[in-house]
Formats: sequence, structure tokens, C-alpha cells
Amino acid sequence: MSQGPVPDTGVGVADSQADYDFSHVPAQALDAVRMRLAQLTHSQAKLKDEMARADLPQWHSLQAQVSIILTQLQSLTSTIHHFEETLDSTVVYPLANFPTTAHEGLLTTLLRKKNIPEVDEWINDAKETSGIDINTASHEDIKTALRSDEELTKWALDFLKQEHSNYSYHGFYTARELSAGASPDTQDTYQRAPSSKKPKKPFDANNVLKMIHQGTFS
Amino acid sequence: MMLQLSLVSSIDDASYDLFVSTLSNLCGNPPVVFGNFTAMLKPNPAFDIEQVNSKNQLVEQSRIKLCRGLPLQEVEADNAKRDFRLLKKYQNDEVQGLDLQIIQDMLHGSRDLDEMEVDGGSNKGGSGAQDVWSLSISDIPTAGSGRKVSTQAITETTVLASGGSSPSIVSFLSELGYVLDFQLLVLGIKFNMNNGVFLELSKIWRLNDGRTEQITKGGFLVKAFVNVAKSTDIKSINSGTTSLLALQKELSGYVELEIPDRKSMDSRLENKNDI
Repeated sequence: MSQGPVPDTGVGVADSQADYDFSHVPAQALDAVRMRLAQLTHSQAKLKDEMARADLPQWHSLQAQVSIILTQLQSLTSTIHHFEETLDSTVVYPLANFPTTAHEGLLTTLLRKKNIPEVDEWINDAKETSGIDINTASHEDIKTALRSDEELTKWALDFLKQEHSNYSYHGFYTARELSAGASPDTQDTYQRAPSSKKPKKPFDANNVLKMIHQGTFS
Repeated sequence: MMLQLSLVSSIDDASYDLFVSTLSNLCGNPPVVFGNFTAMLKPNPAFDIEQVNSKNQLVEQSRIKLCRGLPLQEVEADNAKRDFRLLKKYQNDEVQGLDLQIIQDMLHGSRDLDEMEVDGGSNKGGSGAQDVWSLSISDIPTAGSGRKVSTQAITETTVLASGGSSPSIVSFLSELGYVLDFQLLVLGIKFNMNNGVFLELSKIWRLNDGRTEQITKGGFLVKAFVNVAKSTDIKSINSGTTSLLALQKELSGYVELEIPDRKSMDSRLENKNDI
């Protein structure tokens, strides 16, 4: 058990802080989480901004941003997981000199443990779209639903792979032509010009110029 | 006096096809085949020319370049076949299909009385334009380390008829005190790039006692140039330089156009007490 981070930044009186021992504050863990959260919120805000614009950005730029956000989410979860023990055993409380009355709103926000209504809404929404009534469904039912979901994903992936193999993405021939016997190695196959096609200098131009102007080689 | 801004390079025979198609695509036009005969003349050494090199007087002897188009129909009779592919068969000393007698006739006037020039009429096989000799004297390109292109001043004129007792241009020039020094044959193609830039690929032979010796063996001389009519026309010089540098940049990584050594473009006679 250690002292929690004190929500008095900029609020508490500097002198009184000397009386408290901050050495047990898990600053490293909190800082790591804070950094990742900051990155994540920044990226999300940017994406939200771009989606709100009249002309949508290019799909590949959106995709790149989403993949960045996914990476950051993963990084956040792994960080939280890494500091799980420390964070779990940390209890947050205000110091005695915190101006409770003046900053009640801030205090209640910081110390809130329940999800905020907005988040509750999201969770309920997700549960509803899954089509399972949590209250009535048994544990087995939920497992089955999850498994069928996984199976669907697997089927979609397999289908995609199979479709991909049906087409030829390189060369001049379609997959049908190739299977009908067109040789992929005929002459009109595109060949990148090798760097050896770069001209060599067979002679020094200056020597030829000297010959032109003076009739002698140097 | 005009100024010629130029950059040079060279390519090997094997790269010719690719280079021609690259340049044709770049400029949007196929190249034009040309052939030149060049005779360089020098002041007659029989005359005792005073070599003055004092503080405010300097006499330098310079070669004169005499140039005239070759009758290309001698090289390839079929007009339709006379394109850039023509040059591919000229990889060694011999200039196939070209009778060197033509050149002697050009220089000295035809020895065949029936084909002698009469009243400026055209002689054997030559069109009107090919009967004209161009006479030029070039200065050594300007010095300076900060230069981006070679800048050479050239004074040029044309000789339509010698008007003397002999139809020979050689005898006409010998009356002016010049004698033959050496002779060159040039076959090449010329691209008309944008903004007044020309790019020439040429095969050059030296004529020696009725034999030809190729001095561009194994490849082609590449020369990109812009001619500016007046050496005082700074605006044209600047825009020509910009155009040349743009071409140099465009081709960089493929063919590197470079500033030639100015000493190799000096057509003055080697003076013993050079300055």
C-alpha cells in the first residue's frame, strides 16, 4: 500500500508538501501509462477531426492512422498489464490540505471509480449488438456465441485467401490464361532494365574535342 | 560573333538504341541524321609570321574551320531508310558507302570537266545548300572556375563562291595564307530539344592519306549545345544556360553531361612561347 498521487498539482500550498513522503508514489508506472494515454488521445482526436471534415482524407491515410491507434492501444494495454500489480494496489486519496470545497468537481472526477454514464452506454451498446442477453444467457451460450464469431472470422479469412489465389497479380497474363497454358516466361514479360544498361564511357570526350580542334590526341 | 554554350559526354555503341529512344521521348521528335566534312586550315608555315607577345599587343595564330555537309544520299540512297539506325553500322575505321573521292572533289573542285561548277550551278549530286562552305574561327572557351557550362565564342561566315581562277576552295584559302592542316568526317544525329537546345551524337573520323581512322571508336560523342547569336545578349545566354542545366539534370544518373576541358577546345596553334 502506498500513497496515491496527490491531486493537488497547482492547487496545494508548496510549503505543506514537505511534510509528506512522496517516495512511495508509483511515479514510473503512472508516467508510463500517462504517456501512452496522451499519445492515444492525441491520435484519436486527430482521427475524429479528420472524419468530421467535409472532404474525407484518402483511405490509405485513414487506414494508416487506425493502425497507429491500434498499435498505441496495444502498447497501452501491455503497459497497464506490466504495472498491473502496482496499479492494483495503489489507493488514491486527497491530502489534508486539498481545498475540497473549492475544487469539489475536480475531486469527484479524479476519485470516481464507477464508469461515467457515457462509458456505460458504450458497454451496453456493445452487449446489445452482440445479440446476447447477458441476464438470461448461460455461460455456455456466451462461449458458443464467441466461438461462432471466431469461426466466421476464420471463414472470411479463408475465403479471402482462396479468392486471392484465383487471380494473378503479376505479369501480363490473367490466372485463367496461365492455367490455359500461357507460359509466364515468354519474351514480352516486362523486365526491369538492369543498371548495366547505363551507358559506359568508351572514351574521354575531351580527347575527341582535342582531336577536333587541334588534330592531335593529348 | 556568336556564343556557343555546351556540355559534352560520351556513350558506348551498345547504349545507342536506348539513348536515342530516351531522347526521342524526351524531346518528342525523332533525330535528324547529318553528315559533315570538316577541313581545318592553319596559317601557312612558309610565311614568317611575327610572334608578338608584348604587353598590349598579342598575335596568336589560329586554325580556321571549313565545313560542309556530306551528300547523305551517297551513304544511304533510300531516303526512308536514312534514320538513326544508319549510324549503327559505323563502328570501325571504314566509312562504308562513302566514296572519299567526293571529298577531294569538294575540296579541290571536280576534276571532271562535265561536272565543274559553272556559274554557281550545282555539281554532282549536291543540292544548293551543300555547295556552301561555312568558315569559322573559334576562340578558346572562357575561363573561370564558377562556370556551369562551356562558353565559346565563334565567328562564322559562309563562302558561296571563290570567284577566283580556280573552283577550289583550298586554293582560294591559300591565297589568304591558309593551308590544310587536317581533315575530319562526321556522321551523326541531332535532336532538337526544347528551348533552343540541340543534342548531337556523332561518330568522327580523321582523314589521313585517303584512309579514314575513327576517333570515336566504341561509342559516340554526345554534345548538348545552345547557340546565342550575340555575345552581348545576356538574357539569352542566361536562359540558354538554364535550359542546358535543365537537360543536364534531366539526364543525370543516366548520361552525365559535363563541362569540357577548355584547353581541349582551343584551336590556336601551339605556340612555343605560350603565355
